[in-house]
Amino acid sequence: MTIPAYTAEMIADLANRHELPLPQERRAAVAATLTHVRSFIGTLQSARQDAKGAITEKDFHGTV
Amino acid sequence: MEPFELSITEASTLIAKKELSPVELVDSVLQRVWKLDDNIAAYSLLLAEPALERARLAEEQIMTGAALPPLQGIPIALKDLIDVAGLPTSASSRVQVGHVAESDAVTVKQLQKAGAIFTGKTHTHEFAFGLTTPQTANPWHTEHTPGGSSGGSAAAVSYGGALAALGTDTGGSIRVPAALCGVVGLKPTRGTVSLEGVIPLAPSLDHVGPITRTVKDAALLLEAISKAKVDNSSANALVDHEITGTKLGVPVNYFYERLEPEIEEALAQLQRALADAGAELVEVSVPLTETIMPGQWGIMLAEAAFVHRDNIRSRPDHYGEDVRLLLETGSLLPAQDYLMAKQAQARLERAWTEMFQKVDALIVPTVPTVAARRGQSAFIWQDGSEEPVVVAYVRFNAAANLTGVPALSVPAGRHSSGLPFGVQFIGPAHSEAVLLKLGQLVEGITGRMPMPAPFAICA
Repeated sequence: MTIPAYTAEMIADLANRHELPLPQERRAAVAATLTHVRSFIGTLQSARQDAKGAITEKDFHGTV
Repeated sequence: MEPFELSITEASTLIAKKELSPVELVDSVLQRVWKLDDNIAAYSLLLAEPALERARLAEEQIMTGAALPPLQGIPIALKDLIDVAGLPTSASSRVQVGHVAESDAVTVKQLQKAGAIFTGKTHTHEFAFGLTTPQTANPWHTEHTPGGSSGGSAAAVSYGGALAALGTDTGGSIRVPAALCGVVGLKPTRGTVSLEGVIPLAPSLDHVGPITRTVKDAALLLEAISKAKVDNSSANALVDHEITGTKLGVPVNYFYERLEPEIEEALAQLQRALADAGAELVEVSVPLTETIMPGQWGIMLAEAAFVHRDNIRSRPDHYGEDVRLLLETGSLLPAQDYLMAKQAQARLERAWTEMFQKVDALIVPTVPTVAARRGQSAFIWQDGSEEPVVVAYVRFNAAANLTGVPALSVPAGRHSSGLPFGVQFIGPAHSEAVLLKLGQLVEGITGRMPMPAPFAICA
């Protein structure tokens, strides 16, 4: 899974869609953090492919 | 020995024999708080008068000769995420200003029923979303962090500001501060202790558990706050030290990497001592370790952002900078990332269940190094690599939150810097009795951790 390198402009758009007030001076930090975090979580995709056996819906917990 | 230095077990015995009054005990603890807490700031709210009043009532009850509940007259602190009716639950955050809890958390009711006396609320990293508790100092050296997020609870127990405390643990927040402050911390099996009345961080990873000075005290406190009472209780399991045949897993991957050499050597010595005591050491390749941290972050960020979805939109400037950035980021995380992390969690839980069919417990470090300096953002390892403090403290702990299994941190010694560190036992679900027995053996090997020396506190 390829994670986009978020820009401040992309974050402004995303924040707007999520009704999240995000002053301009914060957007670069959120962009960098979201890029980093999503890339890190994205490593789970390769871990899944390396694991034995197919993963199905039964691998999810039922509730949070 | 001053009353504030006693364990719960010791104090309860003296109280039952009428050789120590709850008033004397609570007063001793409060004197300790008044002497030291200006420098340590473990407490966000001290309940001195109510605690003394409760102690007087407890004393009256003792004098009637009535049967005493197990924690009668014992001063206990509560992490300030836990509701007490009529009191603010600050979560150490400006967001909570003006909040007053309407009812007691389930664990508060349980402790009151067991006779405990609440000394006050202790500082947390804001909303438990961090590993350092910036308001609070480490009692072993005030220029260092006590760890977090239950840093106030661990610091108070460490310096004698309470005989025990409750903490919460989403990725190590009981065990890390316990290890860094030289006390015992237990994260119970998921579902063992109620979360009702506790401000959540990430509901599917959150746990409530005890922070104490001894392993036996952790067992006593766990019994008091467990949802279900069992015949073969954790405390009863500690009557003997028999571990012959216990298969103790020593990981060959992940858990001994990027580790302070002095801690590694101390744990190697403990492994040998436990083997001499009858444990069978088994080398274990721990499965799916590469999924632990991304799984933890994917779940924690998304769930925390959901918990705070209103406040992060209506008053974002009320949060501290670090927590605000995490909540803003989590608010923009796609659902597919969260679901991928949940899937990884399920796979990890299944793989660890299989692993625990081969061993009864793992022995691992709680923390890879000792307490960071306050405000320090990263550790630099011997190979020159840098690691954020939060990552270093979470990476040996998060798997127990993801899989829901119990984990116990016990003081394992002191580093040449004078700062304490811990050893952690992790076992399959509902194996608390085994972990506590192993922990008690470690106590016998290393000796009881002393109180921090006054010179260190004033340093």
